[in-house]
Formats: sequence, structure tokens, C-alpha cells
Amino acid sequence: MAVESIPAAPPVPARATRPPSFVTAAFRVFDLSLGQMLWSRRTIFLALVVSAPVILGLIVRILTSVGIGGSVRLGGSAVVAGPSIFGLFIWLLYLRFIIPVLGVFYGTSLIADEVEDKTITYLFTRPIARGAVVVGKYLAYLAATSLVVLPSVMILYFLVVPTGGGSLAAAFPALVKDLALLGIGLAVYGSLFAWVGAQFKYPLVTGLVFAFGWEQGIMVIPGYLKRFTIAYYIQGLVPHAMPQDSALSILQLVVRDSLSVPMSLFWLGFIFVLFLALAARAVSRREYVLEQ
Amino acid sequence: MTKRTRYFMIGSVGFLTLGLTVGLAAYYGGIRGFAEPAGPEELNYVPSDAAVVAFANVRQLMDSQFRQQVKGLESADHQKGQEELKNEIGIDIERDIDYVVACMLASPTATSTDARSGYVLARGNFDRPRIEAFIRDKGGVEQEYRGRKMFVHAEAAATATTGASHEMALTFIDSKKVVAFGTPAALHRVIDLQFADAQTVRANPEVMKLIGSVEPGNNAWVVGRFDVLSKQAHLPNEVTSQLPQVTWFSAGGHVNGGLNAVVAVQARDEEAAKNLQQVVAGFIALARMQASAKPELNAIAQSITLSNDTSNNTVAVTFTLPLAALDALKAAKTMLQEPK
Repeated sequence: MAVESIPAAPPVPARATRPPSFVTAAFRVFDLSLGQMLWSRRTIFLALVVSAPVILGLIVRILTSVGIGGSVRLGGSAVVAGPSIFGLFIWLLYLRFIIPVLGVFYGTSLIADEVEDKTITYLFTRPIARGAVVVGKYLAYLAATSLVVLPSVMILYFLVVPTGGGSLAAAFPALVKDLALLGIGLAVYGSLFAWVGAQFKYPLVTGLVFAFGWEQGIMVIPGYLKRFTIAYYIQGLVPHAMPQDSALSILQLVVRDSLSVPMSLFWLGFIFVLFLALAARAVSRREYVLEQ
Repeated sequence: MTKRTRYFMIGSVGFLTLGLTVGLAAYYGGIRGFAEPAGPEELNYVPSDAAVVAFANVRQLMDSQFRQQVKGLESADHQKGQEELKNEIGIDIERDIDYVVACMLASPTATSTDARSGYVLARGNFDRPRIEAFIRDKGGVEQEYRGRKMFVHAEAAATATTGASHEMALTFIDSKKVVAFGTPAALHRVIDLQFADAQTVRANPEVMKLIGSVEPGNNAWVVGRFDVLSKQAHLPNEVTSQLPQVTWFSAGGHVNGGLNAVVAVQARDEEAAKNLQQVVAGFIALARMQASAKPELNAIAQSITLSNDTSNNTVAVTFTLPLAALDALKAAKTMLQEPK
């Protein structure tokens, strides 16, 4: 099999014009990658994934408006109370499924797609730091996913929260916290899977095994191993983002073994910085071999 | 960046901004008809310094299966009272009242010697001329305050026992849809609120936050300041000093095929919340132990759950009273009434 080899970090030849700074280079890669990400086939998948909770929310809205589901209860207060349903959607659909899935599919493909399409040569032969390519592509991932996920949460908020006597006003602080939580989730999962994409040969499989094998399995096992998951630290923020009513007490029982908010934020920040730096380092040092 | 990408970004960010603006506007005052703040409309007639605010959706409560079961436990006198009310002023409690909002007014600096004041606002279908004629017949005096008509009646019973005049008053707020009933001083404040001379409870974020948390899914609720109430409860100092350091309390219940309720209290600090949680946990354990031998009570005891929200020092207890428990109570009542 004929292969084309790209040596690690080629020295930039001395030129009359200065190469762009790291930030400028990252922004240019971001500018280029955002459009590619938004208008790719993967966006259809993204749209399908984020439209699922909206469709479910619409069903809940229709059912409650015609009087079905008014007597479904769990614990001390009505599950059909809009803010409770909204909180469950955020936890079960977004934080436990959609955010990790988007992180895996987009994060692992940041560099892997360029390698697969054999277009990485064009990026790496530019007079910019390889780390800037990773950071620029990562920012494009963050913008593309946030611009689709967060509006879908907003639609869900307006659809679901007013049902069952819920108040948009009362649930507004929870919405703001949830949006911030989802942003943090996208950032941290994206950073981890960007590193997976840069480091491993089969990043998608590795990412899926981590997100839906390791994370889901280890979270139900008592002990310290759950500290090696992102879900554990996200979980530390969840009870504070949920509406404080008793319907969620059951959910809080499930997530009670969690860290304090400052500690969770610290570890999420640490993971984010660590893996983004590792991803940039891996791309800078790795020799990519393009199959012909 | 292509034009298409730029438009998409602008659209998405614009939608997020619009949603957050609407939510923020709802949070800070409400957008009538679209995103109103928590609580019924009648909260606009409750002043911001109300110590206790309560709500009951009378129509839902009356139509509930739970109510039908409770009806069997009511005395004949109670049902006769309802009949009299219907015959005299044309109010059928089962059908004519949609919901009621009640409040108790007390200043945080009030002492146990200060007079208590409060009122009940009821929304429903009322025969105003008939009610007014009934009050006049019973000795009610018509008064006017800021151009609004109100009827005042001094209660003889209260005068006889306390030696002080205990006046009650009534006024219609929204033509014949909303009626306010309470002390004359309190009703003056209701009328003042209609002239926007005072702030309503909606401007009190602490109360509104509690209402927002207890209202969803419940058809009856109450929120209030525990410390203000305990000051006015005429309790001996020995008892008052032993009361837990509780600032706010709230309770809500959903009544339909049973009763699901939540009672929450907010402690002054984290230490007080911990102590309170331990005390309540002890009582729950005692209740479970006592109820273990009685199947009809055991279900209720087992349904009690205790939770502690450390972010705002709140201790909450939830419990369920199933319809089956009422059946057991009915059976017990029948047994007691049977001649030996």
C-alpha cells in the first residue's frame, strides 16, 4: 500500500511576512471549519438528535393540553408539573445522552476527518502552529453544537415548563443554569474526545466505549472509580440546576453521591484544559500517515 | 465564513437572546397573557408584607375523588351548613367558587399583643345583590372607602368573649367575580392596592420564589414567615426559645385520587437545617415504628420521605395519603358509631 508520510511539525521557512499568531491562526481555522461542520452530513444527525426532545416536549404539551397525563404522579408532587419534566429532559436526554453523543461524533472527528479526507496536508503545510488547528476546530465544534443544542433547549423550555401549572418565570433561573451546564458539558466532552480523536487509531469506537460503556457502567458502581468519568462531575452541578421541588427528590436520590459545586467546576475546568492541551500536543507531535 | 453560516449564527444567537429576554421579563414581573409569574391573578390584591399567603383550588378539590370519600366522613351539621349557605346567599360551595386566596398580614416587628389581620379572596360566581341584601339583614353596615363600597359587621360572639369589638368586612373587587372578606383594616389595604398605592406580594422575591416552588402540580398551598407567626402566637417564652430556627415554611398538596403533600421549612442557617433534619428524621422513624402494626397507617408512614436541600437550608417532608387509607378511616368511624 502506498503511503504518504507527513513529518512531525515541519520547520516554518523564514519568510519576509510573519506567520499569524496562535490566536489569529486558531480563529482562521475556526472560521473555515464552522461552515464545514454546520453544512456537513453530520449536521443531519445533529438535527435529528436535538429534535427528539423537542418532539417529545411537543407530545407532552399536546397530551397535557387535552387533559391526558394529569394524574400521572411520582413521589410527593406531580411529575406532569412542567418544570419537573423539563428537569428530567435535561438530565436524562441532554446530559446523559445528547451531550456525550455529540462530543463523541464531533470531537473525535476534528482531526480524524481531515486525515480520512486526506486534506490535513493543506492545513499542516500552512505557516501556523498545529495546536492552533486543533483549537480552531475545537472552537468550531463548540459553536456548531451550542448553536443547535441551546436553541432546542429554549424551545423545550417554552413547550414543557408552562404545563401542569408550571411557571416560566419561576423556572427561569433553572433554565439559565441548565444552559450553562450544557455549555460546560459540550466543552468538556468535546475536549476529551478531541484528544481521543488525535491520539487513537479508532477514535469513534474508543469514544463510544468510553461514553456509553465506561461512563454509564461505572456510575452505578459504588466506589472511587466514578471519579474517572465526566458524568460524575457534571452530576455534581445537576441538583443545583434542577427546580427545587419534591418531584425531583427521586432523581436527587440517584445523584446524591456527588461533589460540591465548586469542586465539580474545578475538576471540569481541569479536565477541559488538560485534554485540550493534550490534543494540541498529540497533533503537534504525531506523524500522520495518509493511506493512498 | 459564508453568508449561509453567518445567517445561521445570527438566527441561532438571536433566538437564544429572544428566549432569554422573554424568560427574564417573565422572571422580573411577568408578561400578561404569555408568561405570567407564579401564582393566581389575585396575588395582585395581596400586599408585599403578607406574613402568610395560601391558595386552594376549590373547584378541583370539590371535584376530586378524595373529596367524595371525605364527604362520607363529614357530619350532618356540616352538610346542613352548606345547604343554609346555598339557600341564604345562593353560594353552592361545590360549584360556585373556583378558588380562594388567603393572606395574613403581620409586620416582622409585630408583637403578640398586636391585632391580627387578614382576608380571604374568593373567585367564582356570586349573586352580588343577594349577598348584599343578606348582610344588611344581618346588621351589616355599608361604608365607603376611596369610592369603593364595603360592608362591615361587628361580631357579637367575639365581643362577648374578648370584650373587644371584632369587626369583619366584605367588599367586591371585580364586579361580582372576586369577593374579599376579612378585617376592615385589611380590606382597606386591598382597596389601596387597586389604586396601585402599595406594592403587591409579587414584588416580594422571597415569597414569590416559595410560591413558584410549591405551586406547580399542587391544587392547594401555603407559604409564610414562621418567625413572624411564632411571635404572634401568644406562646410562652420557654416554648418560643425551644422552637427551631425556622424562617420560612411552605406546604403544598395535590388532591385527587388521594393526597400527595409536601411540607418544607427553611432554616436560618446550615446548622439549624441539620438539627431540624435530625429531629424530623426521628419523628418519621417513630411514626413508622408506631404504624408498623397497623396496615392502614403503614402505607402512609412508608410514603413519608425526608429531603434536605443544603443550597438553601431547606428541609422537606413529602407524604402520600392514598384513598385506601380513607376507606380504613371510614370503617373505623363506622365501628365507633355502631351501638355496643
